[in-house]
Parts: sequence; C-alpha cells; structure tokens
Amino acid sequence: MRISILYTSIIIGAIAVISSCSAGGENTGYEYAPNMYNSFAYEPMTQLEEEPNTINPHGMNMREPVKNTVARGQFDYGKYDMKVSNESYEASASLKNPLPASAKNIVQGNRLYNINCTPCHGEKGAGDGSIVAAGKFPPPPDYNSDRIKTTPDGKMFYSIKYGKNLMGAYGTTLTPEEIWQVVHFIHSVNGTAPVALSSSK
Amino acid sequence: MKLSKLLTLAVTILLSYQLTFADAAEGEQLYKANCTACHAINEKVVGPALKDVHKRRESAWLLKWIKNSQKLIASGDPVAVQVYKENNESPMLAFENLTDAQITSIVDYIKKESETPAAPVVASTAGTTPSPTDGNTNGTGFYSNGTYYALIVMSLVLAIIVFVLFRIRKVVDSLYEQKYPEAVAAEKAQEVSWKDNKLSFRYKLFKKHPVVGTIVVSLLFMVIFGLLGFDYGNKEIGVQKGYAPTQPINYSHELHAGTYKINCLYCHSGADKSKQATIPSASTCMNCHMHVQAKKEDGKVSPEIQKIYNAVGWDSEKRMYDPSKPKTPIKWVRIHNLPDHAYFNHAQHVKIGKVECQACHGPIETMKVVSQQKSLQMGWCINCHREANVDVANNDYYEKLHANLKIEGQTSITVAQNGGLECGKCHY
Repeated sequence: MRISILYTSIIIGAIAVISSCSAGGENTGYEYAPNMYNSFAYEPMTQLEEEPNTINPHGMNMREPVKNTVARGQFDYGKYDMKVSNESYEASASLKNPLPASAKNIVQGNRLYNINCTPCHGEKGAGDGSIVAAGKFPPPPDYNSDRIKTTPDGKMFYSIKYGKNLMGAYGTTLTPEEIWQVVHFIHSVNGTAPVALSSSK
Repeated sequence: MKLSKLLTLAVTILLSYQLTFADAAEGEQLYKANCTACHAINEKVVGPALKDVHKRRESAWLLKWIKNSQKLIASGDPVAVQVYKENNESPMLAFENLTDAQITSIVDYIKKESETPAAPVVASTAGTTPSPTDGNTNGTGFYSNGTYYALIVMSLVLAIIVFVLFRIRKVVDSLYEQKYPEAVAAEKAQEVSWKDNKLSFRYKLFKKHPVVGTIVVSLLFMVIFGLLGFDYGNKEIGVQKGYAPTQPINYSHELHAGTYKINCLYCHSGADKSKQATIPSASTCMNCHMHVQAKKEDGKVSPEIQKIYNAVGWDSEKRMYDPSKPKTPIKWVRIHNLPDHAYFNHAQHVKIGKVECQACHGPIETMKVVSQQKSLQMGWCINCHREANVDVANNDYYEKLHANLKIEGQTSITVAQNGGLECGKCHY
C-alpha cells in the first residue's frame, strides 16, 4: 500500500513536470534550443522581450523605409503623392487611368475588390455588404447611382488611396497599380466607360 | 385659352401632389443612397447628426445647402460658414442632381425618424463585443465554469465512494478473521513466498542471477521510458501547438471573419504579396472603427476599441487625429513562429499555391482567441507537399510547366514531384 502511494505520487509528479513543458494558453512550452528558433538577424513581425531592438523606436524590428525609397517594380512611384485636402480631391479629377481596360486588369480588380471593398460596398457595388447588412455600418452610395457613374476616374483613385467621407484610406494596402485595376472593375460593374474629364464639372 | 388654363391647372395639381405626397418612403430611399455615407440621424458621423434638422434650419436654407453647400459658404452665409467650421471644414458634396421635391422628401424622412425614439444602441452592440471581464467569468477554455464545477463535485463524490468501499472491505476482512480464525491461519500457512519457491521464474532471475535480473529490468525501463520520452520530445518540446496567448486587444476573429465575413486578406494584406502575412497596422482597424464604436450603456466607446484610438491618437469626440496625443504601436503577441533555419513564404502558398488560410491556421473564423492549431513541424510540411496536387491547368504561373507536362502525357503533379522535398527549398 505504502509503495503504491509512493509510485502514484512519482507518476503524478512526473506528469505535472512534463505537462508544464508543452504549450497551451499563455505558455509557449519548453524550447530545447531557443537560439535556433529566434533569428539572430532582426526579423520583421518579431520582437523579443528579452532582447529588444535598441536601435528602432518602440523596440520594433520593422522600420519605415527611407523617404523616396522605390520598391522593385513599383508602378509610377511618387506620382500620386498628394496632400490630403479638398483641393487635392478636386485636382485629382485630372488623373487618368494609365492601365488598359483589359480582361486581366478587370479580373485582378475584381479579386482586390472582393477582398477590400465587399464588406461595405457589396459584391455588385450596391452598398449592401456584410457589415452594412448586419447594421454595423451605414450603407455607402450605390455604384449605379448617377453620382458615382459621373465621378471621374481620378477622383475615384483619390478616394480609394486617401479615403473619402466615412471610407478609410487604402493607399497603405493597395499599390497605385492595384487601385487603378479596382477602378476598372468598378466601371465594369456599373456598365460605364471611364469618365472623360470633359464630362465632369 | 381654356386649354392652356386647364394645362396649368393640371401641372400645378400634379406639382402640389408631388410636393405634398412626396412621401417619406421615397425620402428613405434617397436618404440611404445619398446621405448615409456621412450622416446619421442620432449621432455625428462625418457630418452632424440630422435629428430635428427641420426645426433648426429653414427649408429654403436646407435646399440651398444640400444643392451646393460650397456656394452657400462662399456667399458668406453666416450659418453656412459656422456649420462648415464646426465640422472640421470637410465640405459636403453638392447634390445639384436632386430636385426640390426629392430634397423635401428626404427632410420629411428625417422628420419622421426624429420623432421616433432612438433605438437602444445597447441591444445591438452589447452582445457582440465581449469585454475582457466577460471572457474571464465565462471561462476561456473548453469547459464553461458550470461544467468545471460539476466535474470537481463528481470527482469528490467518487473519491468518497472509493474510500468508503476500502473501509468496508477492511471491516469485512476483520469480521471474517474473527469468525473463522483457523481458516484464515490455514490460508496464511499455505502461502509460499517466491523467495522460497526455487522453481519460480522470479526466484531464478533475482535470487540466483541478481546481475542479469537488474540489467534486464533496467533495460526494460530504459526502452519504455526512452520511447515515451522520444515521442514526448518529438511532439511537445519546441512545438507550440495549442499556444493561445492573451492579446493586448480582445480582438475576435470569430466576430470579424466569421460573423461579418471580412476576407482574411483585408487585414493581412501581405499574405499574397510577401513572405509575411503581416499584422495589420492600426490604420486598417480605423477604416471601420472610426465609425464602429460599440458603445455601452454609459455612451462610452468600447474599452477595446478605445485601445485602437489610444494607439493612433484619435479623438473620438472631435473625430480627428490629435497631434498632441502620443502614438504607441499595439504590441500584438506573435503566435505562429517557425524556427530561424526554416524558410516559409506566405505569397508562394497563398498566391501561387492557392492554399486556403485555414489549411495551416485551422478554423480561424470560429476562434474568439486564436490558438496555434498545427504543429508546424517538418513532418507536417512534408506530408502536405507529398499529398497536395499542384493545379497547373488553371495557373498562369505554371504555364510552361503545364506545357511540358502535356508533352510528357502527365495530368497531375504533386508539390513533391515539383521539387517540394528538396532540402534547399526551405533550409538555406
């Protein structure tokens, strides 16, 4: 009897010790060689509490690129940098979509639209997306309304890149090329050709 | 003469009909199509709250303002200038395409809405935004608190039953010995210890050849514990499956990706472009949460959403970024972490491979708190590379490969056949 109690307590103790090594909840579990897990070089999206980055602000490993950095293959970099203001919005009407309205661009635009726009604007741009349907967000204007149909391309571009009214700015997630593809897709949804400058005020 | 009189009469009747009966239903439609992007009835959005606007402003002024507010401001109308200044100088769009009747119907609709009492905001938001305290009281794990207590009580009852049974057996034994002492004595006398039984295996092993016995037993122990330990180390050491840390903001993937069906890539916009899926910057949160505040009974912004505002320095009262407020990045806790010596690229898998996020991250859209679902071990990677077929037919990226396969007469190819098992693909 006595021995069996001893054995059980040893087994229970061993289970307790061992299970503290496995991950769960707040515990990452035991790592045999953390040096192999944690990159010696600074890795983005990673920040070690034990060895914080001493060079960058907030101890982050990521850093904003140097001003005027041009990413590889970046499309017309810097051309669309504007100050966010009412004047810029009006001035943006003169911008023209540099991409042809090819099937490839429209399909790409559709893909990006489905990711970034459908929660509010809905699949067909009627302003009936999932968040709007749930009553969490006011409906945006219908793409088939006259106002959107007569909006020049440049203003659409500005609204997507810098935001408009309740809509946020998507310039950080979409590149200019991608925004122009979305503009092409919007035209394919409401059946309009790109609005020429002359027809807008 | 008579005809023209009749005509004018008809027109005036028609017009007045239109004016007086331009009903609120049409107004509602127009309101939702043109106004809701910036206005709400009961609260300030981009523009001011529209409740009782018909009492505050004259209808002639409203007509002028809605048709072209910039013109009215430029003309120096004091009310117009004041409204413009009160609302961060963001101009209202000109609605010159709306007719007077249409604008009147919109105002009629606002009038109707102003008179109906405001719907309680609480009912719609309280249930969907769990506060951190809710999470703690309901138990965050698999069991709710109720089941947990029930389990504890049941195991206590079981322990008592076992204890009582042991006591009863002891009592019965002693009673038996009292009643039949000879029988018990005879039983005890018959029992022969293995130490005296020279034919038993146990005697041969431990009494006759103690060294052999010790070696055999320790070998057995070593094999059993070695296997167990190896299996354990393989599955648990350095494997973070099940890791589910508390995040600085009580963000629920169940609510955003599940209920509201927001695409994963809306926030993790790098997943199809770069090695990292990227944690969204707080500005991505602000796309919606500039407006969505999940207010509680006391009219305050939900404390979890307030954390976003604090991070970006947003003043929810003035509806603008306050440059005097400090900006502090949100310290999200990283969950999925590959060792430094293994290379993984999200864009390869998401964009070219068209792998669903859930294949590696589990049913994210059902998780209130995200936990790591897969082991992220090499065997797990390799297994998928062996089994998964590359969809070469409908993929521009594999055009050349597809053409070559056609020549060879092959129809499908796995990732492994395409070089997905080569060491250097991931370890370099």
